[in-house]
Amino acid sequence: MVALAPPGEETLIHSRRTLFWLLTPAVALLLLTTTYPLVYALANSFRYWVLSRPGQERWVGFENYTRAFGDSDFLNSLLVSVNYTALAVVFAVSLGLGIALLLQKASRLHTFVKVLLIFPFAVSPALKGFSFRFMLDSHSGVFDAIADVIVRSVGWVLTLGGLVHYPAFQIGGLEAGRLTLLPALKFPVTADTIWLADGFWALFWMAMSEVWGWAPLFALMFLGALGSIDTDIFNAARIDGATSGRIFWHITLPLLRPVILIVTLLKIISSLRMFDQVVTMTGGGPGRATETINHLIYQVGFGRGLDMGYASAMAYILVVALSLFAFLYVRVLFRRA
Amino acid sequence: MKRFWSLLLVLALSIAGAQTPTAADYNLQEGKPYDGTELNFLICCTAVAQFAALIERTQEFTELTGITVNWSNTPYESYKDEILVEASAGTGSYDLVAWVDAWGPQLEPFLLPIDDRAAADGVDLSDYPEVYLDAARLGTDTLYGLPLRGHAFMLWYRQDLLEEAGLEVPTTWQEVAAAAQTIREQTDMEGVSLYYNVGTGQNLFPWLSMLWGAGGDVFDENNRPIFNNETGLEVTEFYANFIREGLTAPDAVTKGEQEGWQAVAQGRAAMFPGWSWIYESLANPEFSEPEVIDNLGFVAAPGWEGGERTSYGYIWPVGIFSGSRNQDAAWEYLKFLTNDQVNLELVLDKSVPELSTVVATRYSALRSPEVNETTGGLQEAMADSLEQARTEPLVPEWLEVQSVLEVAINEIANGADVKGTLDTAAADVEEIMSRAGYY
Amino acid sequence: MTVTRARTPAMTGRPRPRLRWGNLMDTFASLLVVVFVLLPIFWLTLTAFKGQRDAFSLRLFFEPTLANFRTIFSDTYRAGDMLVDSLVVSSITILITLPVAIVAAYAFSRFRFRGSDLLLVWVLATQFLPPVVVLLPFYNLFRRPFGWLPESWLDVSFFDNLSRFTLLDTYAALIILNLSFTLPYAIWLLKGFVDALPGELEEAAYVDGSTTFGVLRHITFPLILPGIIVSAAFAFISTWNEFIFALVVGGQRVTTVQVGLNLMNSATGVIWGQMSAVGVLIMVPLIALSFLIRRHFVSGITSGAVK
Repeated sequence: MVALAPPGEETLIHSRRTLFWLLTPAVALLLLTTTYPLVYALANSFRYWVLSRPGQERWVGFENYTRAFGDSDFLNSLLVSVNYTALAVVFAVSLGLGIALLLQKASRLHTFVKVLLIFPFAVSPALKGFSFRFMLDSHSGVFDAIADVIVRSVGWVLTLGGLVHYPAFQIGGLEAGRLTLLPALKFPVTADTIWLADGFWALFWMAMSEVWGWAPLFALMFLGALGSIDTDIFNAARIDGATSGRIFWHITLPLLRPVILIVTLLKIISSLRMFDQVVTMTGGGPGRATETINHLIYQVGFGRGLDMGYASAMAYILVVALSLFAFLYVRVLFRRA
Repeated sequence: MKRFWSLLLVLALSIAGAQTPTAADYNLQEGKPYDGTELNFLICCTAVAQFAALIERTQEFTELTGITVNWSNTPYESYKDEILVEASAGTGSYDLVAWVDAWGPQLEPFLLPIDDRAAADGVDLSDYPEVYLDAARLGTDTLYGLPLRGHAFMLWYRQDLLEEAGLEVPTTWQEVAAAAQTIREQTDMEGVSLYYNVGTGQNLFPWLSMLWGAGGDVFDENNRPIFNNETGLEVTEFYANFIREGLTAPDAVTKGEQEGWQAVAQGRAAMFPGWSWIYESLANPEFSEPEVIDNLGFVAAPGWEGGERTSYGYIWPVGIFSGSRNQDAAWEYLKFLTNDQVNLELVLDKSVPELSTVVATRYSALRSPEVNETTGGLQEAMADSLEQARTEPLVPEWLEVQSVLEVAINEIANGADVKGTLDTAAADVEEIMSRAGYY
Repeated sequence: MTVTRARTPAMTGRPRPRLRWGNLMDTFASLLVVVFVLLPIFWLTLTAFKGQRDAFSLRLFFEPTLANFRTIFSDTYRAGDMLVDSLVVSSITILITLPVAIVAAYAFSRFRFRGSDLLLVWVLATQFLPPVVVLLPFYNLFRRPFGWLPESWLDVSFFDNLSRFTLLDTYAALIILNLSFTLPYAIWLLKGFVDALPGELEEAAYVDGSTTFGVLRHITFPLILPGIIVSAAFAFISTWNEFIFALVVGGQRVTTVQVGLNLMNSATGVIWGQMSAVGVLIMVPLIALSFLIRRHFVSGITSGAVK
């Protein structure tokens, strides 16, 4: 089954036997733990199986699948999940990259910061949701207090400088309006903003709770990958007079490429699985604006519907879509390198 | 420490009754026929005062019967998942289970009918509010459990604030709105703390109470949705106006019931509609500001002007898994848990703060003058409320319907059109019910 | 207020400040990262020492209390036992994951064979499935030997006997479950780190007659050590943070800290102080660990010199 082909121009010495021993433990362990659940869920996706009606199970062919494509809740949750994933992945990867580049140069301050980077990831997803909800609260939330201070000071400086007229701004007053400079960006950073009442902001903050945990971890991963790179390359480039921008584009980024690609894919998958923050932060609301696919499937299967057949079918639509996506991702992006 | 208190309690009781209680006193079988049996009880939230107190009392049960009981402690959010996994897998690892009323109909296939046992042992069902028994019957004619924990829907208010504003205690929702308006005008406080968020259907508590009071309902007798009829529209419009007109805080649209009562506890709101157990928090210096505790008022949930005062009951029945291998022993424990004497003593014992509860399920305890003395008449008000209370429609599809409704209410509170949203919701509900084979 | 607090240690860690724009910007940006990383944790820690009433206030100065910690270590919750359970489960999971994942990642990175892409995607495929649809099968898998066989296939008394060998509520079950997601993630991450490594060094070793395992051990492994450390941390924390399987498959005798955390969201509402206290407790071992291995996080830059 295995035809060996060396990667690129490399001529590594290897044999089928070596390959077999390298891969067998992992494949065996995964087969052992996942075959039955995967097959079980696949079988159920073709069955009528409502937990509260034992004894009525039967095969129904593709009925569950056709139902999914006509289900507005399902389609809505797909959209929510895609939006959420886009927000979370873009912010987490770019912020992680930014932090990594910042801390790349060795200094004592950087060393200190690097040790802190793992901390946010250590906060469990459920707790992230709880604490972000708490911090976003308009009475006891620390975010609004901070945002308020920032907006007030910025507004104050701008007003003093005569640059803008900031009408709703009052020093010491209770009233504070929207920052009218950026109306198109919907940027209501004031004490009376109810973040979780707005579909976009609720999703945004949910993504941020995730980004807060992951971006520093990604920074660590990028730093780890940079750590494997011979620092001579950077020194040589600098001696040759390359600017930091050029070094980034032509040396750092290409070197980090494999790690970035993988981290992005893993983040996409984990974002699509996101569940805890929906429960602890928004409950899926306002309306169904933050009802992610994983939360919907949970609700259909266990939470309210007990329809395991239908839940399995929705899950398998996700599996097929993601498998295709991951396969193409691997084919197109990995092999181009 | 806890053992010491329970010993003290047993001692105090034995002095009061001049004798140590026997198995017969709790309507249990004598002679320890199930000696050595180990029961597993699937439940959540064992830190809740009432449950913690019941766990303490269980030592006495073990002494009388030789049966030991393990209370599981499951996180509340995942409690239903755990029940479903255990029930569907049918492993018999749990004997007893407690559930929230709305989940009941979905669990029917996994529960043991107990009518015969209740009749044989002379369990006095008339001591329970009818609404509790409805829920324990899961919407059928068969009894599947007995009330373990139950609450009445109440209106909580600040006596001082109402007095200062020259207001009477509201008896209708219209009066609540008017009082909230007055308080809003005279103080910088929130008139009434409401909760419209999406979560576990909590935003439907006040809505259902209003809807029933106004003579409306979710379903007609054929299980077709009628909540979007004229009454439904009027009620929903009225409910949404609380937030639209600033009678409640604008962030109520993101709040749940738990956060709703905290607004009162922190002294930010004058009124709050919520369950009767909240007394344990609102009258507790750990949670509430002193001025709140001193001026805490409560009354059975308001009615509808020109309509009825239909209230709302919330109940956790306890039953036996049909897959249990120790059904007889489990029944013994079920009797003990719901015993009238235990029920009464639990609410009377205020010796340990963490175990002090106001939750009683039987009229004999709710109407007891002694009990009411400890809370300023809370249980009497609960009993009044429960006598005319209803519960949500007891159909297995309720949780799905509830989800559609709570999203609709949330959207309406967030500014969506009342009629359009309710009509869409009604169509969705009709689809759910029709798929389930109701019509 | 928070800013000031976070700044203090950082400032002392700064060597010989030279007043140059670049340095200043660098310092400022680094401090911004510190604030970004620490603010929610700082707030959480503060709340852990607050009473229930104070938890809802923005007060930075309050009467600190240890009551929350006392409660979570009491008999009702036994947070200490939970911590032990979590440590055992996570540690063993990692000890199994790492060697298996390293060799597999090396194979995926350095070998190409027919179907390698497909196999790589398959490794990840289980992660595409929402946990809720595999909860019941996993439960069946562990409840007794042959738990996946339908009950009707064998007579009931036989099953009753088998039930004595249940894996439910054991470390083994949780470790096996955790492997199902730590392995795919670790394989993929490590593959990325090997990919990022230029192949010349290994090539030279092969020419010198080294075996694959020899190269892996003496060349690749030391070079990707920073990556391995981060992947290990990632896998460890993912296990540490796993909740729903830990609840359904464990939950009574084996109770992880995540189950403990969720206990604080009770039927009567979130108990903020206690929840934060568990949250802090959950972080402490991880923070201790990250300080222990910080040399490997931060010395990554120089490890490139290993030649």
